[in-house]
Amino acid sequence: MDRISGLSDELLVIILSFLPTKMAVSTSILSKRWEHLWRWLPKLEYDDQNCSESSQCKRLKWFLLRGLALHRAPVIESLRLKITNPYFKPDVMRLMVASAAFRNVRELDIHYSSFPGKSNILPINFYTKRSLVFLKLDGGIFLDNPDMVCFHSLKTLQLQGVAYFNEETLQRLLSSCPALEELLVDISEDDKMRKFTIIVPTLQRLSLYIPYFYDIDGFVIKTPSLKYLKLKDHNDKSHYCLIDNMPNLIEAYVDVECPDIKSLIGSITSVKRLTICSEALYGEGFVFRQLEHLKQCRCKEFSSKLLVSLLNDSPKVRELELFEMHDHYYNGMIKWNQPDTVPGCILSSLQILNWSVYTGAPDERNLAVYILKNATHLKTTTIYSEECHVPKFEMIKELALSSRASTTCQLVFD
Amino acid sequence: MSKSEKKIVLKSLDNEAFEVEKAVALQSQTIWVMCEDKCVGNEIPLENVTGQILAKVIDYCKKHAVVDGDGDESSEELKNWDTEFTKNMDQSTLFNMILAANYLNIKSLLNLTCQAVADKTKTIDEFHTFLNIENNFTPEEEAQICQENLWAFDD
Repeated sequence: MDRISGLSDELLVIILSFLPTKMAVSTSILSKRWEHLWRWLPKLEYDDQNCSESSQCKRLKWFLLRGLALHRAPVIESLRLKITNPYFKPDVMRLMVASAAFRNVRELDIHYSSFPGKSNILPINFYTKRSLVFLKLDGGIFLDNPDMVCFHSLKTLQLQGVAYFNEETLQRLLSSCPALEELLVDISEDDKMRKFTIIVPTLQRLSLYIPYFYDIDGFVIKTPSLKYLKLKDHNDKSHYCLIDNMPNLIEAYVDVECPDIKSLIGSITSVKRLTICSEALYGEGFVFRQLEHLKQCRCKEFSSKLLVSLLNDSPKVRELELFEMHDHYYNGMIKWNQPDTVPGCILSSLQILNWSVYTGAPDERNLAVYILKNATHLKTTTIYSEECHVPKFEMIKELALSSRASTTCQLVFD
Repeated sequence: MSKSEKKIVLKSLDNEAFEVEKAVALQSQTIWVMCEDKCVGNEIPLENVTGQILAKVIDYCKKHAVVDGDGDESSEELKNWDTEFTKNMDQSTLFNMILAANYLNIKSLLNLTCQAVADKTKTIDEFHTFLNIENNFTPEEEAQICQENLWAFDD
């Protein structure tokens, strides 16, 4: 007798669920008891990365079509499909998604590269799935949702590089998700829609990416419940960017090339944490009353102007970090002009200064000296430097010997 | 609440008694339900778990009760503790732990022990051996299943 006979089928399925799907399926050959156990797996993950030959693709295709149709778990908790081989035609993908929808899939994550264009791989029955909680579509997928869409339970939607039928498609889909809390939209460079709208009253987290090579007229965002915003708008051509006020916003990550950031700034003034990279200035009349953590990317030549504005308009900043965003290039050539009056937060609230990519160039040094000289409540200043314009020893000496408003301020070099 | 009310006694299948803090024991949904039932006194008989296994389950619950209470101890530290906890368990202990976690309804322990089986068996042959499964297929049946799930047997 098997020594595991004491374990029920339910327990064996839990054990199976911790194995890679392919290995779990191969347990079908172990014994009669195991033949169909894998069909009860709540989570399935398939990819075609090891299918180098068409015979292997054929096997996977055949297996997927049959396996999903004959799956026994009443609810598929999650299905992840990563298909990059042209052998998998859109109609095959549609059948697979239809099977998953039939099994009340809760989380669906599809990465699909279709050739040559983008394809509609979502069958009609999919668009009314009440069970769906998480949906990620990535790659060569064409979205043309029918009128009768309703994802009642959908909480997270991620659309990466998918194509939209027209400029209304995205918002039509969003308005069919009454419970949506998290949205990620990465627009593809070759997308044809020149403008789009994101209106989601329930949304709490939004991440939006707009690439440099993409013809855009503009976009509108109305998400009054938002708590976290990540906006990467790398398109430097003039376009409108209309964002409604987001009074509950706690954190924003803003990396924008567009010349006009007034609407954007006006909508994020409630943040506690702000990470920003922009060449543009936003003018006057904005106050960041809650802002405590400010991180600014130094890659723009005139970034110090924006920094002074932000410091002037943020009376409670406790922590300032100057850094280089991922994929941004900082050449150490910033301009620093001392403002006429010292920003209030430097005098009264700044406690921590972290400066990565410090080069010791004259304007940088002047800025560092300026903060040290005026920040009465500064507790720690940490400077990280890799490539130096001046020898490191000199750099340390310059800052260490400069006058400090805070007698207890620790200066740390890394 | 007096000191004695904060503790309960868990009695194993082989009559070993363990006095534990109530907060530790209540991580088991099964014990929680039994405690809610006013008919049960301060001593809870667990008829499906031996003393040897119960001792280990209590170790696990103690560790997790402390950490949950503190909220400060790093989840990384707890994860390492979990890994060490199951690392040297042999097959029979592990299966008895799975049965105990299931009976006592402690979901995190059930997941941990099932995960440990998966971690100890990186290939289908290792899995076969570890779980000591007797193949009762005829060669024809085996070939048929292999054919149906051909993809899963690709290297």
